[in-house]
Parts: sequence; structure tokens; C-alpha cells
Amino acid sequence: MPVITVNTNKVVQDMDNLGSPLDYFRLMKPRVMSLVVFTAFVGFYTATPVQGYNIHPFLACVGIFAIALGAGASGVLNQWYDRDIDKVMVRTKDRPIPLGKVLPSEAFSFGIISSILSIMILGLAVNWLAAGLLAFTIFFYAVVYTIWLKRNTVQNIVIGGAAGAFPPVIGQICATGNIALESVILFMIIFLWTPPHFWALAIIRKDDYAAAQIPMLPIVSGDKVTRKNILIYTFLLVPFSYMPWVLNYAGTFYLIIISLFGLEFLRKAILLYRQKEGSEKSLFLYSILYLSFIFAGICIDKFILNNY
Amino acid sequence: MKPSKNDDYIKTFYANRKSKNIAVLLIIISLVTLFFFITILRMDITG
Repeated sequence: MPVITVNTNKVVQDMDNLGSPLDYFRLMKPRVMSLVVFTAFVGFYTATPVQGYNIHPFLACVGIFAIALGAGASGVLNQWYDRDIDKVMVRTKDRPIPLGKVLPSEAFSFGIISSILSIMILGLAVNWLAAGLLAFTIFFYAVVYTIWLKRNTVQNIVIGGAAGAFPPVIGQICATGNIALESVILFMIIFLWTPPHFWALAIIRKDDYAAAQIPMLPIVSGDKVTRKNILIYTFLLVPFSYMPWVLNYAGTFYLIIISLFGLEFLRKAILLYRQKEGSEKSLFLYSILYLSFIFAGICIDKFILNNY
Repeated sequence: MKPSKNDDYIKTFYANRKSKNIAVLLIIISLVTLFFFITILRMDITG
């Protein structure tokens, strides 16, 4: 009589995976995705129209969705590679992979499939230049930043910050079919904004980063050097934020917004340099507000210029 | 008989697997619909 045997290995392996669809969504770093959608939209909305190139509103929405998916995919690949250090850090220990809700192999497959899908969708729905830049951005974040820079150089977030700065450029390419100076300015604003934002966080979470052996500036060079560098980058960022107004891409409304928020950012950076208690957290939170408001400011300004 | 902790674990596993399967199905349907609309909108029907 034939004997039927059941291989239980696969079942046992599958049983380790208790993740729900929500865990996969959390793997995509929804907060980062929302920032990417916002900045990509600003790049799209503020782009100067090019004669002979127009895009159907539905396809524009699909384009923004594809950019969000690409950002999520790179977040998944980041968490897949960083699963060893995420387990050690207090800030990241509750992510789906360290909690054992999603298997690393599943996260990797999910990240790769989502990356390919996002590039395909953007290329087919909008244009292949935007899709190409999205592919480069995913590669830059997942490979250049996560695998190469993050654990090897103190300049990790300075160079890696470029990955977060590409979305407005992609958004602008979606709208016009080519790269224009205005989106490069938006790129530079995010690029210069990234170091003060992350170094303030690194001072707050210094022990966390030290435990994970990530060479963040406060660990390698100390708090004093970090505070000085935050001040330098803030002094570069705030004047540069006037560029959209200087080059006539934005009007008076933007000028008022940037003047108010820029001065406050400088004040907070000076307080942080002088080591005022609680200034790190204050600057970190304010930096998020700053970026949100100046990008919203550019949008509102464009709306005013277009309609009044 | 009182359900054991293992029974709860199996129950959660099957519930999550079912919701994941439904999510994958919805994603596939959405993608088919999406690619259909992309094709229609990018087609030059004016000749």
C-alpha cells in the first residue's frame, strides 16, 4: 500500500509569518510616502507648461500614485536590508520585520515587485524619462544610501538626502516631459534641508545610532561639530529658499512665507548651536513644518498667480 | 473544551492569510483596470 507523507517544513515556515496587509503597508513607510506625494505634486503643479505637451488629469494622478509606490518600494528594500540594525534601535524595533510579522524574503520580493510595478506604471502612463528618474531614485535610496553609504560614511545623510529630493523633479517631468530649472531648485531646497533635519534627530537618538553602530555625525565627531554643521546648513538653506522668488517662479506670498519661516528656522539653529535645552527636538519638529509650509507656499503662490 | 493558545495562533494565521489573498486579488484587479485606462487614455483615437 502506498504511504502518503506530508512535508510539514513549508507549513511551519509559513506559520511564522503572521503579517496582515496592514503590516505590508507599514513596511512602505507611509509617512515618508506622504511627504514624497506632496513634494512630487508641488513639482508637478508648479511646472511651467510646455507647448505641445499636455497630460490627462487621470494619468497625472496615476503618475503621482506611481511615484508614491516607488517611494514605498524603496522604503521596503531599506527595511529589508536594515533588519539587523532595526532590531537594535528603539526607534525602529517595532517595524514589521523585527517584530517577525513579515519574513525578510517576503519583504525583499515585495520591494522588488513594487519597484518594477511603479516604474512600469509611470513609464506607460506618463513618460519614460520620469520612469527612468524614478528607477534611479529607488536605486539611489536602496543601494547607494542604504547598502553603501549609511553604514560607511559620516556624510551618509548628506549624499543620501538626494534620494528624498528627486520627487519634485519627477513630478515636474511628469508635467512637462523634460527637466527644468524650477524643479532643480526644489531639489536643492530638500537636499539642503535634509542634514539639519536628520542631524537634529541623530543628536536626540544618539545612543540608538551608537548601539546600531551607524556612523552618524554626533557619534563620530561629537555634538559640538554636529550643532555647528546644522547651523552651516541652515544658513545655506534659508537664503537658498528665496531662489524661487529671485528667479520669478514664485511671488510675494511665497516671499512672506519664506521670510517668516526662514527667520524662525535660523533662530532655532542658533539656539541649538548655543546648546539650549530641548533645542534639538524643537528644530527637528520645526524642520518638518518648514518644508511643508514653504512647499505649500509655492503651490498657493502659483495658484494666486494663475487665477488672479 | 477551552481553546489553547496554539488554536488562537492558527486562527490568526488563517485570518491574516485570507486577508492577504483578498488584498492580492484586489491589487491584481486594480492593476488590470489601471492598465486598461492607461491604454485607452494614451491611445490616439483622433487619428
